[in-house]
Amino acid sequence: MSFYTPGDYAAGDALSAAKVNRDGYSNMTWLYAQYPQRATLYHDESVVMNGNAITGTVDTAQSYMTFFNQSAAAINDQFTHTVRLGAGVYQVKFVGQQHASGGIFEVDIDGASVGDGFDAYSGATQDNADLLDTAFVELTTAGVHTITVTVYDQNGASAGYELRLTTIELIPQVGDL
Amino acid sequence: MSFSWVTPPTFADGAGNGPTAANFDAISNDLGFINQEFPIRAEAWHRNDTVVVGNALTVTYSSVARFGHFAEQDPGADGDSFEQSIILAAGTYTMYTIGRSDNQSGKLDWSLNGTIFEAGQNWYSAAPTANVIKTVASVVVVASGRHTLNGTVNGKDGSSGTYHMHLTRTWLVPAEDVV
Repeated sequence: MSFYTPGDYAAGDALSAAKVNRDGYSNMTWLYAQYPQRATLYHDESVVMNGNAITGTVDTAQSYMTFFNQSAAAINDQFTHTVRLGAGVYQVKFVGQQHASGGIFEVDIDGASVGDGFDAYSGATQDNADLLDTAFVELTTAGVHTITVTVYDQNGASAGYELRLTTIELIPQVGDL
Repeated sequence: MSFSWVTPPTFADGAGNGPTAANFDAISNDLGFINQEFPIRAEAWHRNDTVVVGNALTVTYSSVARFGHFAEQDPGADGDSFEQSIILAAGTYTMYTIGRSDNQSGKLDWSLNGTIFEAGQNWYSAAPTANVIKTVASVVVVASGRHTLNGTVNGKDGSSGTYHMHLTRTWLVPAEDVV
């Protein structure tokens, strides 16, 4: 399927099913199929919904030599991000840093839970960790989707509620999981 | 008004097969959906900008810069100009630019689709400073679609020696996301 140049009617022409189907069904369906199927979102583009502003830190061991976090961190820190994607099943990666002050957080997309209990704590610092430890989401429609992240707890050994994050990455999966 | 995607109708030739007003409404609804689902964030890496006026962009890798690098037209001059297209939904955004300020930096005018919305953004500082973020509030995007974001060097601080610009990235973010 491809996009057909629309609008070649002349005055007095009768509408034909072929032309209407081309301009309506075929072109609209084609446009709907053209949404991206991958995304990399930088955490400094998140919008803080609760808590302190997001600041950046240079870390030469981390992807993009950077991570971002709400500072100072606190329980109930919350931020949102948006991604424009086609319908499908995606792996969701939170590329960040696990460390001794990491919090426990949950992730929603369009208000539906991707999961909770994600723990950003580690006694030894872990750069470039997938903080979601392999999570997936099914987007049933194409369009702009809103990701909401909330820090709601901490590991018993953690000294804080920080969520150090560089990128949120969405990667398409083939077939059902 | 909010639109949800529905599979567009199809038709067969012959009397009584439509299209009906409801069929056209369904197609109009899908057009509304496509127009509604433009991105509400955009980013432009300076290294990928198109130079409009001045020397080519060069990239310098830096262990103290977020994202590990900055780009500049080298050597920089008054009137240097660069641009990049971005795709955004209509709305009001905050624009951030991260780069390095120093005593050789100029001032930037920012425009969207040829209209200046920020003039004289001053990148001078007496001491070199990495990861400076300049903020422009209330950038209005009138219509959804592809837009041209342009930066043009226009003068310099009285204390600055030249017109260099060491920039990494510009990004636009809405005031809030709708869940």
